Amino acid sequence: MNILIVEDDKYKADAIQDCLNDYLDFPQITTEDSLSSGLFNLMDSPNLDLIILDMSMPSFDISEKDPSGGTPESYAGEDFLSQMTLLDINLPVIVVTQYDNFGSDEKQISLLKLSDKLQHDHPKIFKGSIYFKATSNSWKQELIDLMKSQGIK
Amino acid sequence: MARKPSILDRVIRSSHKPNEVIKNAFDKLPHTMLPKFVEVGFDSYVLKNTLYSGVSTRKLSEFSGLSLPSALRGVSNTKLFYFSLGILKREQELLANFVKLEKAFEYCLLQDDYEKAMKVLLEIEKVFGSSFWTENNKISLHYLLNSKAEYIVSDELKNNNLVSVLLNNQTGVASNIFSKEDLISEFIDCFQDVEKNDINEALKYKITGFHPNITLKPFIVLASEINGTLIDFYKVFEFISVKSLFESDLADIKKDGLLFLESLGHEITKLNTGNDIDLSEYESELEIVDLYSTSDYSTVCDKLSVRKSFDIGLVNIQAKALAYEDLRCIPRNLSDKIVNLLADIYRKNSNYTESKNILSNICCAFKSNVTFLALTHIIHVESDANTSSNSSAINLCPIYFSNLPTPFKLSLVLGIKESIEIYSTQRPYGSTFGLFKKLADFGQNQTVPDNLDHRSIKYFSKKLVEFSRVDEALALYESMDFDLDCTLKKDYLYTLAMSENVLQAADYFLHIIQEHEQAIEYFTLDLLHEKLLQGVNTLKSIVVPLTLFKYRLVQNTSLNKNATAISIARYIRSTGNKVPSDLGFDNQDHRCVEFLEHVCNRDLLVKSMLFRYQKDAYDERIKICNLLSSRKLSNVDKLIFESKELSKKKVLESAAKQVSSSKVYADRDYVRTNTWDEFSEDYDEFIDINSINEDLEKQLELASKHFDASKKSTNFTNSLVGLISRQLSSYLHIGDNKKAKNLFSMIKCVVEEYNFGLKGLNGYLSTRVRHGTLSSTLLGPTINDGVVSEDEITEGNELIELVSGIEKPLLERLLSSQKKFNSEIASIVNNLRDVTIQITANGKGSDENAFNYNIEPQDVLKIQKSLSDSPTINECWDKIDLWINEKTNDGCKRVQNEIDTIVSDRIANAINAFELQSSRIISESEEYCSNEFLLKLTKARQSIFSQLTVIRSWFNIDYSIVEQEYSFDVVTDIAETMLRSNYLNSDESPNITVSHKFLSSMVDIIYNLLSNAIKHSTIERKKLKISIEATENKDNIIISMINNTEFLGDINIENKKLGKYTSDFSFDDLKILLQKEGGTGVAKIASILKHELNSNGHIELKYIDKNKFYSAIEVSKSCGITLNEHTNS
Repeated sequence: MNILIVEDDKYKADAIQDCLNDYLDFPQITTEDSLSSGLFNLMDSPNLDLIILDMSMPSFDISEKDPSGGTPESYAGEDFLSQMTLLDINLPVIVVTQYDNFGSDEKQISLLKLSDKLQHDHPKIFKGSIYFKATSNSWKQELIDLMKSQGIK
Repeated sequence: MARKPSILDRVIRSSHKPNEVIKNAFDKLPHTMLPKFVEVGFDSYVLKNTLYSGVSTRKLSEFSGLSLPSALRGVSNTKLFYFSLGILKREQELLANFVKLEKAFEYCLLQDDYEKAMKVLLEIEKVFGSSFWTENNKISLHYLLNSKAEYIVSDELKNNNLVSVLLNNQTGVASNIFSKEDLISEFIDCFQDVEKNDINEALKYKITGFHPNITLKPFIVLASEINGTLIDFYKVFEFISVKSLFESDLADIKKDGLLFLESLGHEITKLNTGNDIDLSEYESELEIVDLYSTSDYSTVCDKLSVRKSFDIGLVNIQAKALAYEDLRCIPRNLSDKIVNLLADIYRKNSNYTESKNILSNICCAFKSNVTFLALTHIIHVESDANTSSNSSAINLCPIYFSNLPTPFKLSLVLGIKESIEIYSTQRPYGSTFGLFKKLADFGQNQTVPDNLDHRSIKYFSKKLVEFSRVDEALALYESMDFDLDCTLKKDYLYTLAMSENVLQAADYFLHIIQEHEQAIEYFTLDLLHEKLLQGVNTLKSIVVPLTLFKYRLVQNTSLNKNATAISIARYIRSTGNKVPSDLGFDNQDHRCVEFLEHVCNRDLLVKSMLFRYQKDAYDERIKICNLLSSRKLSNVDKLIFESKELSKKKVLESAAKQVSSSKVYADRDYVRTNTWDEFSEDYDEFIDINSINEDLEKQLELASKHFDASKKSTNFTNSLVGLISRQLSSYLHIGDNKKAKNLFSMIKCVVEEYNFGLKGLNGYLSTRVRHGTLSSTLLGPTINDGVVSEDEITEGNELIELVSGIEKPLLERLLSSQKKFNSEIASIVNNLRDVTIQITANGKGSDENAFNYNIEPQDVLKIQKSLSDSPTINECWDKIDLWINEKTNDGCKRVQNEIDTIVSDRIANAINAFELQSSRIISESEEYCSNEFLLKLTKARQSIFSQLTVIRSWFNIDYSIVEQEYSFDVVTDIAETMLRSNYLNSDESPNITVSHKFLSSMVDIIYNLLSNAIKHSTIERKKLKISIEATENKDNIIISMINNTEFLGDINIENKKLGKYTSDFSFDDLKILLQKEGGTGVAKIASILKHELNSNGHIELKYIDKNKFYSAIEVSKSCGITLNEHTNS
């Protein structure tokens, strides 16, 4: 299975990769750090099976030309999904996000609102979102359960 | 034999408690019996002196609140309605009198007989006592009569806190009746974040009435009004009954609601109940309608210019006729003013926005009157593209609210067949009926009749679209000229969008928007947008990105933005070019200029996927700015500024001279670029208004005083103020001082973008601080050690493993203690993230948020006082920027203070408690336990506090940005990046340092000198040599530039000419020369020296010889420029 992880936080990207390695049989995982490198990878890779996507990330990678990287984009993940929908690229996408929340009760509402919006705008490709928290391992089981429910194995 | 008690009797006698009796009535009686229940029951001893029966006689000063009486909660809408009907029926005679008086009031109001209108209101008050209806109308009338004096609420009403606050709000609305801001939009923004509950529903109604743009639960409002006066209660009932005419979900109550209104002699029921229609009573009006139907608009205008009544149907026809003829009537009174405003709205000319807002504000001021409800519906339909699901639906409001028995009206009330029958019998002649009948008889497969006039074509085209005969409809539209008819333009656009030719539709859309830019929301059809999104990958025309870019005003979504970006790339590739700046175009090609200037902005270039590196995208944007500014296209100042800011960013970043490493950041350059147009508009008005500063200061001081007073009210009042939003409240408090309002708008525009824009503070706080980083930075090490975890704490937990061997009961206590500790830590982090490190601005947020950008009258006063008498736009921007900077710094201090006190204390307490408990538990164990557990806790304490220091440093105030100095090569680098040139040798750069405050100005000067040197030198570019030097001249520094050239004329004559450019410019001369030069050149340099650097330094231009040109500026050292030792002069 070919998976693209688009995530700029190395700790989180590694954690997701470990989780996928545990659950799947020898997945081929590529990681990109920014919106644009993720999109370019997507255009250049015809055989992807799944995309794991962060919500906030910079627009470009850190490089010689861009020593500070691109400017941070709060909704880069949404832009990524929009480009996929508009270009008719139909691949399953799971969002794994440390999305900004507004209190413990409202956290669920925030994540729900986000998921609803993404589901509404990108019904063909958006499969669900997972709330990632560094202080807990529960997100791993949620990710696996979501992948199972989508028949991703 | 004793009569068996009826169900009604049983209910009335079911309890001694009124609420229980009412509840039982709702539970046990069908809705049809509720009026009878009220009629009989309200005379019974149980219900005689209750909240419910009290509505008949209650005074406004006794108004008890907005919450629903308990017995009415959960009751069905229908039952509520009939219960209310029962209450009102008891006062039928009184209400019939009120309806008469209300009609008289409205007539006087619309005829500008304000004093008589006020007398009618006072008469109503004598009979009914005061109500919100009378008070609101009195307040609005007061401001129509005399806008300067403040309206004084009576002491009796002032003593009721809630009433006082609501009337205060009405005062704010009425005093802004002719404001160019649309108050309803402001209220809608305020209502968005408000909790959805019954009290707030009732409150929204009190503030804005039944406005079509505001979602309200009408029956909740009705139930809530039982707390109020008879008039206010009746008004809600009236509005619901009237709305039942055109809202299908009110069908259940329509018949009885209208019947009751008819019994009161209500105007609206005249034709809407379908009883006995005699067309001869309306002959003169129907004649006018016939003229309208034959497109004889000028006669319609003439005849209606002497109109006395305010029938909404006639008013609508008059407004449209005026719009089609591009005329306006002489405004004899408020009625005519309204017609003219409506005509502007229909015409969608340059007055559209202002007229729409003024009319909307008038309607808001008189919201409790049905006529103004009708007008708000018209405005709503005329300012929204998608109110009708297809092009054949029309605005039904004027029809329903009108007392004109047109064939179409009768068809809505009685049916098409009945309407035709009535007309065939009573009035078979007349063009309106003729057209109506033709349309009714027009079948799916019939041919369209020949020789149709303008109005006929309009209706037949709609019919063809209904029958999906799109091509025929298009042909019909294209056969006529509808230059002045915006409805037809929209219908045609819709039909084009339905056809396969999306590009033609987009092209037509752009054509319409060129003329009707202010009314863009009227033409932004969802259908066209959907088609463009679907085809974005395949459509290759400049109209696609242009149209999608225009749509961002109503569809500010990720899909739209990315579609625009993709369409840029598709279009550029289709032209055979690699990048937009390669496009060849004529200066007259406005679309191409707009495409380059606006659509190919930095953000969209990044998303277009044309570039793999940000630097390349930015370079392209700089190139586009230079291309357009060098050809003097569009707003040269703005383009040069943008080019400069991007260049600055690039140079500073790549040279690692980025001044700020704080996590508190907003892209100020982006903010400025993005808000410049709106900011400039407000600035132009601000500077134009001829009022002396003294007057402005007095006004603002007064506003500040009153605004402070409102903050001292009770908690309840504060929550109401919070609902209305401090922001809007402070705006309203400023009153009618236009200059202050413009300044307020300028500040608001920047604050909104700075905080919540795409590259605003909130976004960066979210991604850099709140978004996971905060908790993982603070707790990362302790998570690794197992001390903190949000997972279920089990025996397998790393920390607990350290006390293996401990007795089970003690282990369980230890686990429980750790859980409590974790919970407290999570709460601390959550609070810091979700409450403290948040923003309150423009009415969003709360007082607990550290970053507070709410604009209050004292802030406006402070900024205004800091401005010079005739401030430049840059000065205004800088002062506002400074104010924002102060607020940001205040916010940072507040966060740091919170970390130093509350957060630290809570963490310390949590750790102390956990340590203490753990230590006690472990000491109870009889088994040996290693001290490792407690050592780990000590380590965790150290780690958390150490990390807290790191987090604290994220909020270090940016003093450095103010004190930062730059070497001169930074200035020249930026200027050369803007010009994409490379003439200056940075090793030979003068040894000057420039303070941050003046960096921009110096860059502008060097850019202009360099640009002129490149432009005017006749040397081939690759042979051009330019050098810069600096020397001291007492308290001044002279910065000079020499370039090689080949001058063929007489340098003495030329130097004489150049001399006049460098003499002192008067204000007017400078202005003229600036315009002539198009914002670049000598005048620009002079302007910068004078206004930005406050320097009287001069400029010198001359030919040293035929091969050398010399330009120099002399600037005072007090301009933050220092010439260091070892210069290269």
